Amino acid sequence: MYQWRVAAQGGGPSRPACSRATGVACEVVRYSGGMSTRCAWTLLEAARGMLALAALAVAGGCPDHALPVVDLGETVASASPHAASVPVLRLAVGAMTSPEATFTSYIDLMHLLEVQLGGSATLVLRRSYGEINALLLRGEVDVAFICSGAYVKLVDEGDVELLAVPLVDGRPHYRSDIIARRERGARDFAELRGLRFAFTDPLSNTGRYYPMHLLQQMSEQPATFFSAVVFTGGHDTSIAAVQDGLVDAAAVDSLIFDHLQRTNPERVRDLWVVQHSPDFPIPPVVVRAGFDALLKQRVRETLLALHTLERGQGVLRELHVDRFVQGDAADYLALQQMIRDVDRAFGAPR
Amino acid sequence: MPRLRVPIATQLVAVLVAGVLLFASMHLVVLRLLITPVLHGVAEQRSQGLARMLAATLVEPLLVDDALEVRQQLRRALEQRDLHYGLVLDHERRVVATTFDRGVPLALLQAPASPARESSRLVQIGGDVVRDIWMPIAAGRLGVLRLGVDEDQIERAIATASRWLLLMVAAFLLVGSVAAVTYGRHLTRPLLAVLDGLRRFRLDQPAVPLPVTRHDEVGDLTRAVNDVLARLKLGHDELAAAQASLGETEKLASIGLLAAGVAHDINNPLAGMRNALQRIRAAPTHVEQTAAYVEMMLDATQHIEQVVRALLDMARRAPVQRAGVEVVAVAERARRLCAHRAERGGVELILASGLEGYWLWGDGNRVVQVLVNLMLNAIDVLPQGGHVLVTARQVGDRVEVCVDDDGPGIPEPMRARVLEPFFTTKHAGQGTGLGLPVSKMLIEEMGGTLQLEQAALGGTRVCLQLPRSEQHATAATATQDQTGGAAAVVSTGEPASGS
Repeated sequence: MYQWRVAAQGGGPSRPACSRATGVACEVVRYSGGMSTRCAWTLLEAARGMLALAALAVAGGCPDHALPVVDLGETVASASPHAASVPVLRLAVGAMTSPEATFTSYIDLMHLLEVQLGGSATLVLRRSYGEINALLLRGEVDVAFICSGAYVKLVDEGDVELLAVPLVDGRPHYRSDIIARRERGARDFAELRGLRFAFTDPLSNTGRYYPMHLLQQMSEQPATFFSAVVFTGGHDTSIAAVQDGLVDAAAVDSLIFDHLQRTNPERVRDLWVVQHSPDFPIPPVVVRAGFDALLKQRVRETLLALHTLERGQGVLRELHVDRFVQGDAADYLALQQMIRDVDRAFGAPR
Repeated sequence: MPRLRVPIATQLVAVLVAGVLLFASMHLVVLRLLITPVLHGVAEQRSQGLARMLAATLVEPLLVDDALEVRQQLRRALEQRDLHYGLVLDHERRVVATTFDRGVPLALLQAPASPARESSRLVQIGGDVVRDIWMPIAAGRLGVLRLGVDEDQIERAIATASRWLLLMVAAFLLVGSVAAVTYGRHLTRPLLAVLDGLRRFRLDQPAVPLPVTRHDEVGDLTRAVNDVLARLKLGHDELAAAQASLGETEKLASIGLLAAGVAHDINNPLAGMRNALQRIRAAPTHVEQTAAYVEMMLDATQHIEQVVRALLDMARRAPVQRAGVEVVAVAERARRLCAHRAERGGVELILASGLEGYWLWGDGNRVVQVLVNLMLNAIDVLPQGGHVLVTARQVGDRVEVCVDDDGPGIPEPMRARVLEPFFTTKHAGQGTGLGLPVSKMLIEEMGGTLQLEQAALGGTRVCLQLPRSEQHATAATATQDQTGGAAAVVSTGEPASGS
């Protein structure tokens, strides 16, 4: 190459001699009219390089050779889903909010209880209050956070004990909010006639029993009063359904609605409360009948002392609860009556 | 290394082939090294997006321990895509759902390096290229989704694309080569026509302009060639005309040189005539004296006539007329014209006896001109007492007439140059230097040759050869010997007052 450059830079029409190695191709290039030999040589070199590269690429560039081989031949039988270790506490949460949100909120409480109890715990979530109730009755979960309505039903059917109740805004009460899209202009429940309505859960106090109670008082049937009825399974789902216009109105937990208004107001911006209920006793924490007494005591103590622990305060914030107090089963009697009346009027949910 | 002539069509094909191969190899390189990873990257993004979406739908069923729902979701995903396998593990790495009928492969139960993060890698399963995706569910707290997505179609697509590319390259090479050869021919046809025209060009034939068929550089070339050839022809014609007139010029120059001699030749007899007339006038009644003097005056008149005729003949501008020419006659005429200068220079002009009987075929006047020129050249270089000899002999079917002198001769290096026009060793005013080349031209015009030969007398020898004139050949010529040399002296250069 050097030889060529020197010769070419010598100027004038002289042409450098072609080395033996390049042979005929070089001669062809030499006689290619006005192309400078230097330029042509560069082109030739480039072409040779490209061809070599291409050959390499075609021949050896296949990624297959570099890939690890996975042998699917060696198998194990699917492991049966049995727990490696038996937990000391099986904590259940009824789906007041969506399961994922519930999970996030309660998993830390579970871990804290594990520490206090000195053993492992599991968190059990279910889509409906009925499933939680069934688990409690079968003794498959030990402690459960359930809706007031579900608690009342449980009391009728089996053996559960009130373990603790939360205080929100300093009170052990909550309400049912009948919400609707603002532009409907409805001022009370009666103006919801002919609209699409969302309940949450069949066993939900705020999400079903209260509006059914209202219908009962008006001597109406949900199927005829409303144009359509759906069960959303969760309060936040019902709120979203009304906000998105899938339904026109719903009955939801006031705690949840108030929380949303404070933290995510844009999710409730088109909604207002058509009517609230009177105060209901707040959803309690219950324990099944046959649970180990010592453990039961330990759990209760932990819950009641939560607000005193630093870690516990973080958990309480996640749960949007001020603190837990003992609670009194007698507070739920009035609610029990309302629910019995509704069941008698419309039939008990399965 | 031998020089290789590569026709334009071949050059075009070579360039085409090189270009196409370069193009093809670049594309193959791009396909293999650039596009394949890009496609895999895109496929990876899509597959991981799918895995992420599927994992999101599995959160709720996993939370509520709905294994059935998990299995259904997995199965639904399998139906819609090229899923090789699917696997859902809970947070304790136990299998919740799987697409395998008989047991789960051990290899798939092993977690990757960072199990808390989503990852994917390409693996080879039974000869297929599969993307193995590890997707934690709810940041791993609920479990892991493991999917195997087929990416073999990428390899197949690339292979297909490569094959199509090579097919197109082959087709293009084929079509392109044909096109290149055809266009090469189209390009070179007018060039070859120009070449052919140039080869057939003759200076002595009228120039036929080459047809201009193209409106590009080739057309320009053709026009330029036509222009050059026309100018060449014109130049040649002018040169020929100039050469023709050179002959005249030289002749006139010679005449100029001879003028003094001619004048002297005329003057002498005239002086004699005047003398005679004066004597007659002095004694008009002396009849015998008058008769003698009248004879003398008639001789003198004849002498003048001959000299004048010789000069006129020489000066006449006439086209070449060929006829039988007696050598001894033209030699005598030339001698007579140069006699005065020869005498002045002290040089003896000798015509050999062997000149008799030789007849050549040519233009007598021109031969005289040439001989005069040769004689004058010799006289100019010879010192006092030099000799110029004119001989003749037969060479084949030609007659050779040579003019020898015993002068200094022409030095070797100048021998070739003396036949060049305007080359002269004489001083200005003495000679034009045209003599020899023009003489050569005149002789060659008559179909003869003129050249310098080895001097017999030691000086210069110039010989001209012309075709022999058959009809006038005599028996005497057959006996002449071939060797040049002095023969019996016939006459001496003595411009006497008549003989």
